[in-house]
Amino acid sequence: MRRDTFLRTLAALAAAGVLPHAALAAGANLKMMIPANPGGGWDSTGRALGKALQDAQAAATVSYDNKGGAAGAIGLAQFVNASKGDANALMVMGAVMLGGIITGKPPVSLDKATPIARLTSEFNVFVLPAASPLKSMADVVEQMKRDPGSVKWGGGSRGSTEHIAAAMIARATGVDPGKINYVAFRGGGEATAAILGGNVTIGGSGYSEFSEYIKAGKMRAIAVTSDKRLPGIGIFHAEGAGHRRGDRQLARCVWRPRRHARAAQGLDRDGRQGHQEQGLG
Amino acid sequence: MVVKATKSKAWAELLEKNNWTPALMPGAAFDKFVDGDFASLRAVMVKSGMI
Repeated sequence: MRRDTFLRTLAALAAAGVLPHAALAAGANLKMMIPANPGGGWDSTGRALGKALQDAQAAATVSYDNKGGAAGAIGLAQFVNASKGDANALMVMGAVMLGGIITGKPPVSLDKATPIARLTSEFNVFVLPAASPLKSMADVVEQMKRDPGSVKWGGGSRGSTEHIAAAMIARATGVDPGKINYVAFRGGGEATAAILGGNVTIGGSGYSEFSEYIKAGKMRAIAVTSDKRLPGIGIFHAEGAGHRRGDRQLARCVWRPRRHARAAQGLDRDGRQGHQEQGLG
Repeated sequence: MVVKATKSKAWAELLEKNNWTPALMPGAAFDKFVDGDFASLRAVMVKSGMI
C-alpha cells in the first residue's frame, strides 16, 4: 500500500513536467515561500535566489514568507493551496523535505508542485560542541554503544539527511537505529543554537550552515558525509549501510505551484556559458 | 528566469560567501533527479529501519 502511494507520487511529478510552458512576466513581483524558519539554509538560499532574481532583472520585487515545521510540509501545503495558479509564486526546498514526506506522509505532497531547478548541493557535517568531552566520531559511537539514549543528536526534522546519517551510523556500528535519541529542530538556526549551547551531544547539518562556527572554533567538526577530504576534518562514511550519496544529498531546489510549467526551460541553453568561471570556484 | 538569476553577479557572490557548491540542474533532468532521489532515499531509510 505504501509502495503504491509512492509510485503515484512519482507519476504525478512526471506529469507535472509536461504541462505547457508559462513564462513569467519580466519585472514581476514574486512571492517566495521558504518552508523553514528564518536563519537556516533554506532561508538563506531563498533570499539569495530572490536577490539574484532582482539582480538579473527577472523580478522587480520579491516578498518572502517563512513557514517552518514538519520538514517543510506546512509551508508546502500553504504554497500549493494559497498560490495555486499564481505564476509569480516560487518555493525553495531541500532534500530534507523528501525525507520528511517519506516519514511524515503529509496530506499535501510534492505532486502538487512543479520542480524548476536544482540550485546548489552540499554534504553533511557532524560537529561537537566546543566544550564536549568527546573528541571524535569513534567516541560518539562508543558512548552510543554503551547507552544509545545518552547521545543526543541534534539536526533538522525527522527524515533529514543528518537524521538518516545518524540512523545509518547506528546501524553500521551495531546499535539499534530505533533507539537513537534524535532531536529534530525546525531550522538550522535552532539546531545551531542548541549545539552552541551544549544542549545536544552532537549536531549535524549542511557544511555551509556550520562553517563559520567551525572556523571560529565554536563547533568541532568530526565527520563529513563526503568522498572528498576537507581540511582538518576526517571523513566518516556510514558505509556499512551503503551510504555513498556524497555531496548530492543536500541539494537545494526551487519549485513553483503546479499548473505553471517551469520558466527555466530554454533559458538553460542560451545562458549556459554565463559566469561559469568567475567567482564560482 | 531562475537560470538567468543564477548567472547574475549577486548569485555568484552569494555562492562564494555561503560556501555553496553550485549544482544547477533545470528542466527534465531535475524532474528525473527528484524521482531518483525519492527512490534512493526511501531505500536507504528502509534499510536503516526508519520506516
